[in-house]
Amino acid sequence: MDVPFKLEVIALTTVIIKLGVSLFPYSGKNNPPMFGDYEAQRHWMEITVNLPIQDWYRNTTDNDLLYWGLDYPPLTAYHSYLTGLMAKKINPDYVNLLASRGFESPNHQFFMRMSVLVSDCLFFISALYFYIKNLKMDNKYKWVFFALCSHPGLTLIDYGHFQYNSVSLGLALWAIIFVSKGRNLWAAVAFSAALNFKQMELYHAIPMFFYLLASCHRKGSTLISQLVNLIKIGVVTLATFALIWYPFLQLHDGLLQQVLSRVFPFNRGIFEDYVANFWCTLNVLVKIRRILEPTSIASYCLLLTALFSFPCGLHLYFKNSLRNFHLCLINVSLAFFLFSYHVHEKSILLVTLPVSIASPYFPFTAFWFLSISHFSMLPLYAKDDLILPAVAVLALYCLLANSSLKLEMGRSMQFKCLAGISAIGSAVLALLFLICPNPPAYPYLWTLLVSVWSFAHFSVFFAYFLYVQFWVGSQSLKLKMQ
Amino acid sequence: MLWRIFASITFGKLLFIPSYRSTDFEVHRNWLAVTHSLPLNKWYVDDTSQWTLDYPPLFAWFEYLLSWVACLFDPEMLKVENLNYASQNTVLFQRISVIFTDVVYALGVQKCLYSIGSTQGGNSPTILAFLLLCNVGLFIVDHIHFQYNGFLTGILLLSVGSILQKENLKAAFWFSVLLNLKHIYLYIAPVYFVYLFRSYCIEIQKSRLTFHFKRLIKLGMVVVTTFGVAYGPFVGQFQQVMSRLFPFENRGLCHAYWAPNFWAIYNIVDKILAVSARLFGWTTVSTTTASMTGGLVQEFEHAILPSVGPKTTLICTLLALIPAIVILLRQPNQPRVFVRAIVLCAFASFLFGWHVHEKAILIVITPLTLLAVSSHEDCRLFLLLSITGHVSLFPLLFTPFENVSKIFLVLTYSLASYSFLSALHYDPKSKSTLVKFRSWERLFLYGLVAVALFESFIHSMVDPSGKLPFLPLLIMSVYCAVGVIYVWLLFVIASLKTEKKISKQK
Repeated sequence: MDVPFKLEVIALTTVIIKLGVSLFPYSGKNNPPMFGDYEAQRHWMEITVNLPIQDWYRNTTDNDLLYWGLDYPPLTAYHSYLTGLMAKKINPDYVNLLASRGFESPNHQFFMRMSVLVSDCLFFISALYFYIKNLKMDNKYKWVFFALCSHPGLTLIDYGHFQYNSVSLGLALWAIIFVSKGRNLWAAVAFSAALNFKQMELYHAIPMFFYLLASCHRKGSTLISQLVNLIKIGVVTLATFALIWYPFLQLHDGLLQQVLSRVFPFNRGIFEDYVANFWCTLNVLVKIRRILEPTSIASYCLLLTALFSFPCGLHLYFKNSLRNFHLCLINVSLAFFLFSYHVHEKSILLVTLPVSIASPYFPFTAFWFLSISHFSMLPLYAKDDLILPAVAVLALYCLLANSSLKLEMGRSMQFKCLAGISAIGSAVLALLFLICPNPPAYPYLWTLLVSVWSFAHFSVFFAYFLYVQFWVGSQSLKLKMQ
Repeated sequence: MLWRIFASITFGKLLFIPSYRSTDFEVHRNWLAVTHSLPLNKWYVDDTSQWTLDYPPLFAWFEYLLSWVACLFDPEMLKVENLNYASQNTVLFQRISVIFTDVVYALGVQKCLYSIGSTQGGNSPTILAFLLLCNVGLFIVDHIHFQYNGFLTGILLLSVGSILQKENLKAAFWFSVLLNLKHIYLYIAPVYFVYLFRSYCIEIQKSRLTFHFKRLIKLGMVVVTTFGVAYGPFVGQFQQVMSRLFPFENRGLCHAYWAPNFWAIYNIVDKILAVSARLFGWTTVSTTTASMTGGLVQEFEHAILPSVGPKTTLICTLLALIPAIVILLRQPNQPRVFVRAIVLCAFASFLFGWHVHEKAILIVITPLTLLAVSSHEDCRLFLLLSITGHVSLFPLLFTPFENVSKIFLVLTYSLASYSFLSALHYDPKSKSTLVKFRSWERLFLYGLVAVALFESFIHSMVDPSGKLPFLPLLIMSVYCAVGVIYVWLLFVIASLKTEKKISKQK
């Protein structure tokens, strides 16, 4: 009998790895006056616990929006409120209004890290576990699949840098799971929740929309029943939104606009720092911001993003299948990452979710993509002093997910060469970044090279994924892990 | 496969570099400083730090070698007067030195796998490699708490592996080295003594006894040379070194936290008797001597039961050794019997020894792992002992993060070892696994979960002011002691039984 790879064992192993990463520094540790994302999250707990709900998004004497003002939709605020209540119960000093700014005792760090772990277990790990557990797949491949999905980028950002991406991604994953079970109404609820946790979930909205729309047609035979299905989904979505936004709708005028302007900040730049996307790379050749007005940049972004995403969505609409749904999720989110306005380097995590879910189609390519997305955040890790865990987790990832590589490495020589060049190139670039000082004339040379190198990968991957969605028949793309 | 598992667990260890470290970290830093900056004749004399050098000479040499690498990281850590020095580079160096010297452990595992792998096919070498390399007790004690047990266990496995391959002289060499690194391994020295004497120096063929005097000389040379090299430089200070290695006078029967052994049960029975005596007025014994200070003070005067001195523990240990000696004498030249004897002997010392540390359970668990892959009976005992023994290490870690980590670590290891081993001992006839816990064993494990949760979380919630700080430790050690003694009894019976079976077959 073969060694049974219990899914629980790999799930627990990923938790241990996450616990290990939690021991390392977070963004803005001991770095006043602004600190970093850790302080932002703590500050939101402070704001939501102490202020009435109408003041959460407004600049008041107690809520200085320039100091980490809330800029995520209400569900994040509610999440902060709940964790904040717990914080208050454990130690009121954690969330004292104004006085608690920059609070970071060891016990508080433990509390914050555990809040991430608990959120992760409730939303992401549980979703992944149920999804993979119920697949018809050999135990060994389930193990590999789970390991592939627990990719280093997400671990490092949530448990190192400090964010709660696992909540929004977990909710999106629940939506994907409900879709694959044919429970479209629940999918609409879960996805609306995800969207209301982080507005960046818009990256996944177009495929979700087209898939649900198309599935209405499929189910009902008559026009009326199709219409009823559509209305049901619409009502459920609206109801979820209404429920979440209810406190802001009934309060006085202008509050809604205020919240929206916080959540969609058009006054922020086209990209932040160096991002491995189209605009940042183009900026090396042409200084976009000198040539174009911010508003026209935004419209170009919209145009290019739409140009790439809508064909994928329409393709999904006309050739509606789960496989196309997964691929469309990849392509649209990647198009958003590469071309849309104000993209963070961390936004690549939104692409990694569908890529990891689709990994049984192309395990090695998925592994490759997920590793490169981890690499693309190298400058961020360096800033947060997280190089050691980043390298260790990547190495563990390679070792744990390793058995899947053999499945696809049997391919052509060129493919192997390409993968080899990519790995060696990334390693060399990482070493240069870490060891060599930048030449004085170009103080951000290595950072820029890291993002250009990653962009080159992402655009090739984009071309590949587009090719797979449009030109590879569903027959020839069998699940390789089965 | 072995090296792939080793690489994985190594990267896992790297992730725990910033975690809590016990005073043992400072102990080893001080030894680095002592061996690096003081002349040889001061190594065992210096008492600048309260953590004086109390390991045998080879370990001192080992620290001396490490100190030259430490230089490159941060020379400040090598100053004897820099007490409690822990710069970032010091932590990094010390942690990495433990992680790196675990290569010896991997080599030891490899040595044992050669012989096990050749007799047992299939997945058993891979599973054995996993069980040993990822041993969670070593992970907790070495890579969080901070010690060099992986390296030492590696040498032990090199020695055991040599016996398994019938390379007796090599085994003797490695074991002498081990004794000169850490004298706690004297616990299992009787087994080596009896085995090498009976199986290597004496040969009985058709009731004709041949004594190989030459072999005895060779053996003696190996042992004497190793000890000579180790102790040679300290020959003038032998007495001083010994007083450091065996500080009997100021140690009590039990360590601050009672190791889960026979004396933990003995202590608690005494307490219960004392308390009930007071309640019912049976005696006029003043119970102040036994007032619940157990654990706080190492010296422990028993109130009702007779107090136990080092001599009593020695007699008990020797009595408990009898099964090990019996099976060794009845079945010479059986490497597997040798491994059983090691386990029995380590059990005896752990259960009845004087001032036993809870970490010593690892000396029982690691050799028992070697047996777990070959028989489903031993496998069940291994699982029981590994779960109980590793949980009994919990009080070593008490900081918030490590409280969570230790639970996940032990849970994962236990679950993984159970699922791998139960698949290995799969019975195609009955279509189920042969590793089946009895109902009371299951009950015991559930109780263990409750005790572990109580120790880690519930106690601090129920008793935040800390009025009864030793209650969780008390419950933990007594509960685990029950499990360890149960496994020991079953293991003794199983050893004597299998031994009978084999002799009948002959």
